[in-house]
Amino acid sequence: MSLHVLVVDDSPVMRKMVIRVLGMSGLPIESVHEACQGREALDVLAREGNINLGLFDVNMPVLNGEELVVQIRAEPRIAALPVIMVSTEGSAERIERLKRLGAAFIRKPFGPEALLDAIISATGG
Amino acid sequence: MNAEWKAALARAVREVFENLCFMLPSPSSVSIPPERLEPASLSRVILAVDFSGAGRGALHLTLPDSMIAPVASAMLGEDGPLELSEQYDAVCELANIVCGNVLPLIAGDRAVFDLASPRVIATMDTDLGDNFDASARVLLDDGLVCAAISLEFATAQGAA
Repeated sequence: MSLHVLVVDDSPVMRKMVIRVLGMSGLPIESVHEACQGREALDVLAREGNINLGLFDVNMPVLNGEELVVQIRAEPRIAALPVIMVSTEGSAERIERLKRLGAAFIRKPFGPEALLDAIISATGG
Repeated sequence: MNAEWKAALARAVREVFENLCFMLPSPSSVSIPPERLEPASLSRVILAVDFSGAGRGALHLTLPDSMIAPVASAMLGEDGPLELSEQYDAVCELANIVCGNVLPLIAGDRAVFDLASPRVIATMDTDLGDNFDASARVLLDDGLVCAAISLEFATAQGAA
């Protein structure tokens, strides 16, 4: 299956890094879309109908990563979107909360192998 | 100076620089030879990350100006020159990631912290150490990186 990925992070540098690691993963990446915060991400999801993987930062202005996932899960059209949350802060409490939202978690820094594992976890293989 | 926190700082710096920038600790990093200690006049950049939550404090990461461009290029996989602003954005993210990695090593996995946006606090020569609870120096092949942390727990919690 080809991947159409939405990368959401308020840092352009981090978006670039995540996209770079995605490219190194060997996965069939068909397209990559970017957004700098959750509200913009929802606009991209509404506009682009084929996105099938989300890589979201946790801490973002306007609408943070967790709030973004809550909104996605509440919207039937995109509720099943596989999501991986990317963060420097990986407290057990936060990871448990994200799991309850049906999101996988990956902690920075990460390489292609860890990202691949997270994608498998998020997409169910 | 807290020895466990110092070890945690050194570990976080080594792991983040290795994983993000492919920069390895120098073989002599256990004991830094005097000739590898950089002169006090060397121009450095200091990056600060304030945090709150389970504890309040700040992490400072210091590296020579000469490392900024290679660190940013390595992080972003760019061979060509990067804009200066992009270079600084990259090293700020690096400081953020070091901070995010060192706090669980010090406070444990259950402690929740909120990290503020990283900022450049100085580009002049400034000594770190006295105002912090712990500091560590890691000699990489590309230069000497210093990290220092001040942390006051919100409760009576101690180091994990």
